[in-house]
Amino acid sequence: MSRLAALGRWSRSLFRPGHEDAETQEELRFHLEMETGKNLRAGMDPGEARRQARVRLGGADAIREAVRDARGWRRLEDLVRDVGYALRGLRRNPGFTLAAVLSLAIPICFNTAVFTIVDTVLFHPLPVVRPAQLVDVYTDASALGAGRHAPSSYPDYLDIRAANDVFTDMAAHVPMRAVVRVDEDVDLVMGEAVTGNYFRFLGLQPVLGRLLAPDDDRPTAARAAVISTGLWERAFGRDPAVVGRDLHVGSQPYVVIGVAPPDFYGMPPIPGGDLWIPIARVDEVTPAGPSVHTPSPGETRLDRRGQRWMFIKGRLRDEVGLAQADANLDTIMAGLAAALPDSNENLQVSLTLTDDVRLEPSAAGPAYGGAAAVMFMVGVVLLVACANVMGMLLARAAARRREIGIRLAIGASRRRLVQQLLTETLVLSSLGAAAGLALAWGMLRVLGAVESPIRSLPYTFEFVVHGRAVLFTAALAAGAGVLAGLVPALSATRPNLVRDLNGAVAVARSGGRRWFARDVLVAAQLAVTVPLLVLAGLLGRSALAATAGVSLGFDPGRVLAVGTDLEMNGYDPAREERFMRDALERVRSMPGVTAAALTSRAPLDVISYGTASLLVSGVHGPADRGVLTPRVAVSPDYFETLGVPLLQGRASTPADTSETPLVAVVSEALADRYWSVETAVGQRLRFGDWDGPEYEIVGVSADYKVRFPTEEASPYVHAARSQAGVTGGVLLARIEGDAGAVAGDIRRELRRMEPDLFFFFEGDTLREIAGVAMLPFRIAASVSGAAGIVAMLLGAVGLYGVIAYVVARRTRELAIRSVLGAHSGSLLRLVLASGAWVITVGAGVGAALAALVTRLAAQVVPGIAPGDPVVWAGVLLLIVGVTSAAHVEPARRILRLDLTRALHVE
Amino acid sequence: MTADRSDVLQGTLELLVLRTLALEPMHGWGLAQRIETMSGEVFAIQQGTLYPALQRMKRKGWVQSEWRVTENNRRARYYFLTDVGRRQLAAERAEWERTVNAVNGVLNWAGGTK
Repeated sequence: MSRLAALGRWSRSLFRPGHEDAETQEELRFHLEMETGKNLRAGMDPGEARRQARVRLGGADAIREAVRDARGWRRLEDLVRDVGYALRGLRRNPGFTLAAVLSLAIPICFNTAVFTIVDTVLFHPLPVVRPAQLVDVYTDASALGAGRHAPSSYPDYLDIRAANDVFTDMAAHVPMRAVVRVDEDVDLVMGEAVTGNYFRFLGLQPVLGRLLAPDDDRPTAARAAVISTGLWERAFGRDPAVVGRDLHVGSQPYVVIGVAPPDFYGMPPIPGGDLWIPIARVDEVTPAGPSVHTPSPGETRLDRRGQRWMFIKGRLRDEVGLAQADANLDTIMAGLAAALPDSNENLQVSLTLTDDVRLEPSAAGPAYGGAAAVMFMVGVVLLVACANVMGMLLARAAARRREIGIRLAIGASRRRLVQQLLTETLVLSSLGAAAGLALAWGMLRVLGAVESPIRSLPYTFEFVVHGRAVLFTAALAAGAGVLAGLVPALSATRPNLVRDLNGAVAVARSGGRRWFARDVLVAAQLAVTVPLLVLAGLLGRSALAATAGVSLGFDPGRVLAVGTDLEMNGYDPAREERFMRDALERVRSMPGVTAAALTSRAPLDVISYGTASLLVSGVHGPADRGVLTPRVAVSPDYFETLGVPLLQGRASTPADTSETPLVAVVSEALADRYWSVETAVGQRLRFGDWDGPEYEIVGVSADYKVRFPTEEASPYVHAARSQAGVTGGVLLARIEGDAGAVAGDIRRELRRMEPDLFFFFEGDTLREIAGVAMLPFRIAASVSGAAGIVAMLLGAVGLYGVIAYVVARRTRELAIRSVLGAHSGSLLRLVLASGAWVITVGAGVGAALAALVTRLAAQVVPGIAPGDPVVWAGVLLLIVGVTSAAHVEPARRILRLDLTRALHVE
Repeated sequence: MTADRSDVLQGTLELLVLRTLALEPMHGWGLAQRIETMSGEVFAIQQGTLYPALQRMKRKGWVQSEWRVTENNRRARYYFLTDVGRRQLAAERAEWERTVNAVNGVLNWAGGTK
């Protein structure tokens, strides 16, 4: 017989295992009949003839199993059979099946969704050619106090690109917030200004037209723009003739030259968004993100070596490692520092693989920590669910003891039975995983449809459950199945389980009472559930506290920010300034507004943030380069509007004009750094790149959060807006009453002055603006909170189920006691007293475990307070409530017991 | 009666099956009867071990099976030798004779020293 034919037969038998097995069964039946006939002919009576025939043959089940073994493909065939068997069994118990599947589906949904988000944000490779070769090149400005991951300047980029011999090529990009007009529709989009070689560097191909090329960088080149597939859809209705159409960025006309690939949204560390323009045009738009200033000559942003604002990436040559690249670039930087000490002294580069860090490196630590915390949290929920399902299976195993006992008796091996019971659990967990995957898909769709809370940050989230997440879910399902199923399967096939669960045999003696296996079951369930409940509570609380408990130094819900882009309306700076002053007066006198001010940037706006090197008279000498410090230009009522108190001195006043000496208000942290709050007033300071005019400190403000709600108190300098020569900016209004209504009134009032006004802050509260920076934390907190609640509910349900089951199993014993004369009151006392003892011991062990586990968890996840009394008290209450409830219902039944029936049931 | 019988020697069951099937195609029960008869009732086949052995031999391609109707009009699975099976029988038989001769040689030599 050829191998091919054998293969064919095997594969046929694999998919029809029942057929082969039925044939064996028929063969054995034939054998028994023949043997019985022979025995009859030998003169035995019919019963004896059949019995002898069976003895000669041996156990039919064992033979069938041995035949299957001999046939090969045994495992797969068994699997197919077991899955069928499991499915039939589960269909017969729809209540149990639904409970178990849902118990697993909900936590699996959480796990899959969180994994997808974390993977998409932190780990999924960029949609570019060979992303693993990409390196982020930051300026190491620690010597200036601006950290190791500062942006870079265009001249530095050009020099490094020309001189290095570790990269095949380098490109640079800077994120920007742009007001885009297509025909009459105006929209705010995130975009990037990029060097001409950017797309070639990344290896991207256009969907339509062409992408930017080095020629587009020439100052004389026409203004060219590449749009994302998303913007093509939103703004152009997927017009196939979009190439060549006009698009205004601010007031400048651009020509659309092409459409980027659908999954490309720009480069980390900050998502680039929907629009790419040549870096040569960067002075015509508003770049976003951090910038660092040291003195240097030059007319434009591209000329000034000391103005650092762009992000550089390099693509490593083959065989070149990060360390080698670092050394090469440091040599180049050292050369620049020697030749140009004004702008480059003490500056180095720091390199990170783009693949490793998907966020700005300073944000990466908290992000990874937060991601770990949330993954941990949802993992705990899954563990609770596994404990639950395990409890249900143990209870069910007791109910199936007849079936299992019979199968053991007729010769099925224990291994085979365990395999079969495990298959059943795996089928359960697979059904749970399938449901969980579907739920996760839906949940991510909903999350993806949530729009960014404010217009100024038009982020879109796109979370797709991809192959890795499906694999992850499958692994979870397998893990959960084995975890929940192994112990029940082993104990169910242990021959004396039956007697144990009946309570006929005491397995241990402790505290003057006998311990039955059912007591151990309850105590063990408690010992597992209590730590999980405590952990879930602690994690949920810490996540909520991380967002709710942060003090910003002012009330962000009472301050509105209004930002306009008057350049869109063709205003020149002088006219823009007249408009802003007029707007300030009008808003100030509106009902619901108690104070108003102008500022060059809104507090907590992560996108706009600039630092400059600060020189303090009497502290820094002529050789010092100063310390990079954030600054802002504000109008007189700024502090009153925010509600930030002045600790010393005064704010600027209308009397501070361009004719009078320059004044500044510094934050408490800055005053403390060089003097003290009391002695800072009257001191003098300068900013390096404001060509050295000296400021006198006239006041000290309390510290408040400038950039992130989670930052440390940081030095901050407030110049007087009237003296700083800046125009435009953001209008802040302190309000009473309904924020939305007042914001609407303000917008209407300003539109009366200019009907075509475009807002990038539409009267959003500072809480909403901070919300953008806090979005990942808020998502983490709400997921953790929800997961914690689900975990507690699941844990409580599981505990209730096991206790109620175990108490119900005692019905027969109680009935006998009752018949023998015990009255119902003493029966109830008996049930409750023994229950109380078991629960005390179980919960005690659980609490000890919980103390240990939470202490370990606190080392992994920052922000957990292992001793949080609210959580411990809550868990205690929950346990008391759930265990009482679980005892009361069966006890009530005991009181109403129909004794004869109870005895008959068994 | 059982005391006079010995279990089939380890590993010889397949040889016995091959030899028996060389006579004619047979069903499992018939095979068991025939082996016991031919061995002069010396070998008691553990009947249950016959079927897994047949299945193993089927996998090795020594035997084939098909459902036929017996003379009493009953459906039964008949096993028959394949060409591979015949060659295997020849080879195993030669091996068996070599073993028996060797064992006899040892026994006879031991007898010679009496």
